[in-house]
Amino acid sequence: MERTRMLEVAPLAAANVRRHRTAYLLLAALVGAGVLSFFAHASFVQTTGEQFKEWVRPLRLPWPVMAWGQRPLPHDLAEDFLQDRQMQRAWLGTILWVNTSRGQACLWAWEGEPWETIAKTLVRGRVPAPGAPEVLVDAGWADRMGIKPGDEMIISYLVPGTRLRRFAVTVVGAVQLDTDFPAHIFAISAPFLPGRNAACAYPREGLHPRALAEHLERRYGLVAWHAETPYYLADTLIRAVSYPGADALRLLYLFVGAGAFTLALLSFLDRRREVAILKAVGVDNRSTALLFLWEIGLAGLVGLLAGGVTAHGLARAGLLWSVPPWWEQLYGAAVTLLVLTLAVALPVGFASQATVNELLQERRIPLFRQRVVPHRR
Amino acid sequence: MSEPILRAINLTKSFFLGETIYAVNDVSLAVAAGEFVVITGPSGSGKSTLLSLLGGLDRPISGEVVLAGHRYSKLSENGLALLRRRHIGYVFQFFNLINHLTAVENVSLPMRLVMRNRREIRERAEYLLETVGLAGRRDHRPTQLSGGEQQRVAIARALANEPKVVLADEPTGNLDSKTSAGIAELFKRLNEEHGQTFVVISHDDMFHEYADRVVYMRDGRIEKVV
Repeated sequence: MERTRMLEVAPLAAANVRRHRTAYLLLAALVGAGVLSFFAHASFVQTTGEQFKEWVRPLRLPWPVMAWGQRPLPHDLAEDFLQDRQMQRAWLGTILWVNTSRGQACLWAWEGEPWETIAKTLVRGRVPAPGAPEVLVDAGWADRMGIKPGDEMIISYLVPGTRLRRFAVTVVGAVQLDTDFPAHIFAISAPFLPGRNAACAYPREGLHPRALAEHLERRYGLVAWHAETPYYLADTLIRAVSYPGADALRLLYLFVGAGAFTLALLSFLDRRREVAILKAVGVDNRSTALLFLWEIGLAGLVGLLAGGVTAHGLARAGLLWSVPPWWEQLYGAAVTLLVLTLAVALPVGFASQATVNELLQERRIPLFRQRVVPHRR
Repeated sequence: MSEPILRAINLTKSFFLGETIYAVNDVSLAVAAGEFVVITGPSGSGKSTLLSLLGGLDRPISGEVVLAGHRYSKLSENGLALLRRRHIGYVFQFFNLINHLTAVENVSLPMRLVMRNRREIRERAEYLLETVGLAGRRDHRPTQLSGGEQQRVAIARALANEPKVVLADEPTGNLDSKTSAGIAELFKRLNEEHGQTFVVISHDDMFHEYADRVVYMRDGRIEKVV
């Protein structure tokens, strides 16, 4: 029985990758860097994901699709959750992420609140005078919900890819979002879906993030996961630089493509004779193409894996603000593989279409080939 | 003569080099199973082009090649590749072994395309290396072997899938006379003991002694058959 095309050349591809491991590791590193850039980009533009979910929310997709923080919590599930967590109340909400001079901040916008308004308030607002770093909540919301100073709230948050973190804070006051800027922790997340909530701390002006982290830990036993965020520039500058900068990071994919193209072309030119031998012993054109695709694909998969693991590690360490949801990660992987495939299409085409004699005699390989149809003379 | 296993029917192949050159011009040839045919002739007489056409490495502009009932003109490129895989063994002048594979791995290469059992592949490759007198050199790489030894490995590789016909293009063209004699004797032994069909291009008279027929070519045509 003939072996399948996928398998027949796989050992040869693996052997070649082993022989030229430095070059392929370099390509894998490029792919990994590309993947990291994707995560960094997604981290910057988290709100895009939120917008997406706003769009899909009316579709009322089934549970697994909508589970990522957007599925309206059924009443009974909320009750179960409250009982399980021994909490008094649960509110549904949306997490809003914004970039500010002090790092990325997030705000829990309660159901029905237009988050664009809050975003504008947030980036326009002034930081109040120094005071005790306590939790402030929106006054109107506090009125509606019956929240008063001294109440205890549970903040639970999750950096995707890390374990859920929860902590208790005491409400010390209420502010008007329109006039006063919340002081220190302005992200208050009610528990809606286990493992899907998020909240973050935000240092007041003049307070170093590390100082806030120490305070939160001392006062509340919190782990401030992004208090080390090194960004401490002006809001405008950050906004002006971060998004185009994140977009520019995606240019790395050009290098990934160029690297893959060069590697595949050099690999082909270096192995003309080997390809000729393979064809002479009966390897067909598609298998020849697969040989090169295996090699580049192997490096690509290693790069994808390494980049993904590194990105999750960085997120866990707090160096990346967030990890995009799985469907964005899948999309990123697909884009990477597409870039690689397009980049190697030409060299792979040459390798698969060249004839044994062209390869052995190092003749020019035509880009387009006319099929010779024998005829009677 | 038994039924031809390989037939070339009015084969013509031309190249355009300022003017049209007929490398092979209306050549017909039949090779019977188990036959040892040597094709000889001066440089540029079309021997290698004819062998390429017989092996399906190139397409004629007219005519037909039939191997074991398979008409090349009816086959796609992939079909030809499968035909080469199953029914044709190649021996090149410059050995054309893959340098990063050992002797036994080089011989295993064609078998890996058609067989699944690694142990069977390994055993047959070792048997073939033993047949060509290289039992002790199976784990050597081509660069660690002499020219004659490399050619023996190439012959073992050509025999790997028990092809209907082995096509050899100047198999001793790159070897000294003593080694060439050994290779010629090996071809004859394989022909006599295993009934292997050979079509060999060679200037070397040694092959003429062993051949059932010697085909003389000149200017793309068959001049005479002895």
